[in-house]
Amino acid sequence: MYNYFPLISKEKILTVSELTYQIKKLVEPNFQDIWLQGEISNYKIHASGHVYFTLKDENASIDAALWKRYADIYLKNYTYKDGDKVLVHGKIEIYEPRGEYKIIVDFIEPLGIGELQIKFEMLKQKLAAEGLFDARFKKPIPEYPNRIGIVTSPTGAAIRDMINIISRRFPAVELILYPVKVQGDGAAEEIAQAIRDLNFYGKVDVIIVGRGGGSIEDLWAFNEEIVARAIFESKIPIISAVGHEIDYSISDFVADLRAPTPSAAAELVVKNRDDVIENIRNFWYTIHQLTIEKIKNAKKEVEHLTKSYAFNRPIDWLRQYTMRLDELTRALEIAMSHRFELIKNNFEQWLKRFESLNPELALKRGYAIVYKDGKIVHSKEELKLNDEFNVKLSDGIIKGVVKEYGEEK
Amino acid sequence: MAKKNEITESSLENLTFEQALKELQNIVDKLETGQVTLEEAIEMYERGIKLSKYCLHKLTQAELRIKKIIKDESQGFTLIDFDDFNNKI
Repeated sequence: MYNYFPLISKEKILTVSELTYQIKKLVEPNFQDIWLQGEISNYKIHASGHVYFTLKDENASIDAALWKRYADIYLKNYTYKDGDKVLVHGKIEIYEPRGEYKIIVDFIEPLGIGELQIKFEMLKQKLAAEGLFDARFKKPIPEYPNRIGIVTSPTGAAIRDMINIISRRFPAVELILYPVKVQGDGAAEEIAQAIRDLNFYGKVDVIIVGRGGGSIEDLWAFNEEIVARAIFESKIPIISAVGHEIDYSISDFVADLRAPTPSAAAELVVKNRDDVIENIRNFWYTIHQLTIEKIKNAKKEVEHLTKSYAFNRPIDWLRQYTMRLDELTRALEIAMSHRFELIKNNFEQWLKRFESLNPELALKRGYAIVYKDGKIVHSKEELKLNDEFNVKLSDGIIKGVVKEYGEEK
Repeated sequence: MAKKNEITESSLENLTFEQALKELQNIVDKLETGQVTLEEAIEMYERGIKLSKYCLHKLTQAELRIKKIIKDESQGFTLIDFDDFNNKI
């Protein structure tokens, strides 16, 4: 085979190390202070804490390494992932054992938002130092708010989502929208003023402050100090709901509760009505059970009394009492046999059925209850001559005075 | 007694949903301890019916109301229906 490059002297032969070293000597001094932008791929955080990734654009790529000491600084408040566009600073290093070169990064920031990110961090640190984020200042969010103030744009997706969710979950509330600009000049001032105004107005139980997703610039009003201060000073509890789940804003930190999104805020601020109805149903069921139990016990006592005393005829109240107890117990059994049909939808009906157990209905059948000083009189022993008492009939109360005692005929 | 009933009924109207629910819970708690007389139990039972009905009424009758708050010059506030929403959906 013909050699186009004749070897003139053996001294021209290099070892791999020599060649690599020469390239290194040539390259490295010229690439010591590199600003480079590109897109991250193959992003990996090694167990050692060093971070490795590739930076690329349409036509080229370069490996990059971020040693732990820098990773600790730049990754503290920001998480990078494949596809992120970043700006890095560093130097080129040739790794001789593998004949590879990479950029050793000593600075990294998300491309384009560096300045805002720094502002964000500075304000966050300042307010944290002042204690604005302290848990002891967090007000509890009312469990069942009646009126919910919402500070957001009247035209955004956020208000629409919140209205939809609240009307589905728990429509028994009133929403008071305070329309504001949520981005652009003056937005922060409007939001802050709205929070102060709603406090001045006073008639809302909780306030949701937020907007839907957008770029960091779009969300910026919620990172302004004026908004943070207004939230902190609010006497009314505030839920902050800004952007998407991954977006954290200063208002999230200072608010009494952070919702990941406006929709989530709507889910947090009201319970599910069906759950609440179920809850009331259970309360009611328990009350019913316990009362019936009490009545049954009383009935046993009464029966015991009627047997142990040599009554020829039980006196009136005793008879009335046993009848009422029978009545209640029967109604209970009927009600219970239908218990499993009683789903939420016919709960109102169910309630009406229970209502028929109401002892007051006995009055409608002609029974009367005698009260003295608001307490039921069980025995003539409790009333002395000339004592005043009230007799409760189905349609009202009449007053009486004890004139004499008599025997029942 | 009549008077007492009037008071409880009128006060029911003034209760918020949350207060009514809390009272219902209290009745359950008291009945559960068993430290009540039969009369008290029946009174609680009656009150329980009213409270449950009241709560359910509040829950089922109400439609979502949406208002927009407008601030006027004299620092007063007016609520108007938020019609924009219906128009835009």
